[in-house]
Amino acid sequence: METTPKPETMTAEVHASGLETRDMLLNIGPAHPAMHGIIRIVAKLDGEQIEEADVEIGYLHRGFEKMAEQVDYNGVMPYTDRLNYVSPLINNVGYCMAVEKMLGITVPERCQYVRVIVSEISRITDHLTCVGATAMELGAFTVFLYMIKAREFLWELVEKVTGARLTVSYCRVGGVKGDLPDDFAEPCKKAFAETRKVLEESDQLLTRNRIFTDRMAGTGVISAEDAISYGITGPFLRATGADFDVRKDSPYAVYDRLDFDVPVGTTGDNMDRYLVRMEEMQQSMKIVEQALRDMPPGPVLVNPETGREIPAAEMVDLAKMGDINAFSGGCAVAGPTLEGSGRAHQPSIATDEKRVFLPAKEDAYGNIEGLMNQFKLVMFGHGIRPPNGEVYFPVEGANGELGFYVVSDGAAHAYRVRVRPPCFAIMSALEHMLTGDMIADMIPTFGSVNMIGGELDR
Amino acid sequence: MNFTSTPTGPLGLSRWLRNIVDTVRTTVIGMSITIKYFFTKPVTYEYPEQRMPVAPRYRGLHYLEQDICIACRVCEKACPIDCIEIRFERHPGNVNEWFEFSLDYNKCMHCELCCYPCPVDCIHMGREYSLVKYDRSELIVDLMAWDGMRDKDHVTIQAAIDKKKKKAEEAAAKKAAQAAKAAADEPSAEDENEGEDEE
Repeated sequence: METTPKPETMTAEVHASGLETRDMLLNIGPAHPAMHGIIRIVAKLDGEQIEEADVEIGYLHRGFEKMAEQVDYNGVMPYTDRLNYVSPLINNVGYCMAVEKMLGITVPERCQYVRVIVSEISRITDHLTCVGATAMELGAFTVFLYMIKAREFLWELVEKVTGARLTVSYCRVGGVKGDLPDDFAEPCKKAFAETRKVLEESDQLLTRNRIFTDRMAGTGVISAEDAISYGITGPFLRATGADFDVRKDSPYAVYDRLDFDVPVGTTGDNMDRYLVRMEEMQQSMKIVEQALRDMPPGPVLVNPETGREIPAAEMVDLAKMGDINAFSGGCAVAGPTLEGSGRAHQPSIATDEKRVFLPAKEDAYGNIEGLMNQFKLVMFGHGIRPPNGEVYFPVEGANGELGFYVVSDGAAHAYRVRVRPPCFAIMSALEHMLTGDMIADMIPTFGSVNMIGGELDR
Repeated sequence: MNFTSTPTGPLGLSRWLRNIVDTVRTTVIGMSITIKYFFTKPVTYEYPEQRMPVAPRYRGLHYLEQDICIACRVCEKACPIDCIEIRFERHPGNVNEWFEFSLDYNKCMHCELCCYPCPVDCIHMGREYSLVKYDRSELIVDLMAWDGMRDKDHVTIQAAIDKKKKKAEEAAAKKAAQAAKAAADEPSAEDENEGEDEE
């Protein structure tokens, strides 16, 4: 015992020899290759250990909430695409459901299934990006490429449904823009087969890889109590062992009819988050397959009663001549991008509330009620006008609970819109998770946070 | 959890050996997966030469069916960022003289909100997507097929004007006839009026 020097004497010796140690401030970001997103972390380092981490956000502030007060309720849709730009469809669904709750309308069953299907496809793309980017930052570039390849197949599905890959603007208040394409199950099956293959390969490449597990396991740990007190939700909270999922705990749309499991971790470290996300992708695919199977059939384009199609331009000509009887039993075939205007299939994807959804073109031309309805929705000073009141509606985003709080004063645009971004709570806990870890652990921790600047800074 | 967690404890010989075995094993597994891709066809496209097929609903550059457009300006109003600009003058006979129907592709985000409210279904989004220009000002694209009016529109306007004139003449003639009739009945009318005045 006498040979071992006491700590006090050691420090004294160091001071005596002039080898003073000081903390170092390291500025990481705002633009840094390891930061996917614009964010600045000022880390106080003691050697390689992080003593303090000051997280600075707000570099991507665009004023979404203010913009949402300027445009009408449907005009906000393109802006919601840009909140969480990796899973824009979930934002679309969340905002629409908030406004619908305020108006007190229910959308048709098929529309709810469609919304669930597109949300779950988005969730897969989000998790693929998150896991792929985390792996890439740890040096597994191959996995990133494989996952982006799988995401590409899923985005092709999204493109088939919405017409765009990223800026989808698919939902409308009271429904969705258009029905699923006729033969959607077939490409969906094919894309999921590819995705499953990629997930299996990535699992083999990562889950049992020593380098990957050494860097992920035991880093960025947060306990369930801490996570709850920070307000963290989503896969991040579930990795700590707390079982909370908006889809299960307050089911919206048709989630209560679908059979799926919520994966829950144990330790709350990066490895658990990775495993939870990998499992959630499998569950999401299961949900989509169930939803496609259970979805009530809806008519598409051809009027099921008469089976007659009329080109839209021809119908307009007939209407101009006042020959309404000539097209009354038929169904307009709209332009190539306007698949959503036919009377026959509109009731299956949109509510019949005349206050919110544009009538089919046949009605706008065929009868005075339809025409008035069209004008009441598009003319200046009219439009969708919810009653006075406020509403909060949460949906399960890819990162956690995504909530929209909308206040209306009876005008055609919202009085106030507030977003509860899931990233925000996680970012506030980042300092807590980083403190005490090595600087190299910051990369997987930050990767598993899946910070999305668009929804964090809004 | 069936992944190999990091063993704790002192670095003994067994663990040292296990580390080596693990590293070699996982490397072999990884390499065997990646080597398969060496022999498969790439999924990527060489962009300018090959083009990916776009979906039927793809939202590319707009096109306008100017023949059926009624210049109601609903699309202009529906646009959340005001990138559509319409200028026209309406002539008799419901003929529009077009000056401008331009879309500012600097701003446009292809959200398709302009297409839905159109009452005559005349503005669409096409499948063309590449709009490469040297200058920003060239991105303001005019969607019109023709400026001003077509030749036959002059005929329509003239017909409408003639009709209006004819109507006005007819109305004037009718009025004159009525006035003449009134003049013929004048004395009695005057008598009545005088009678009223006296009272």
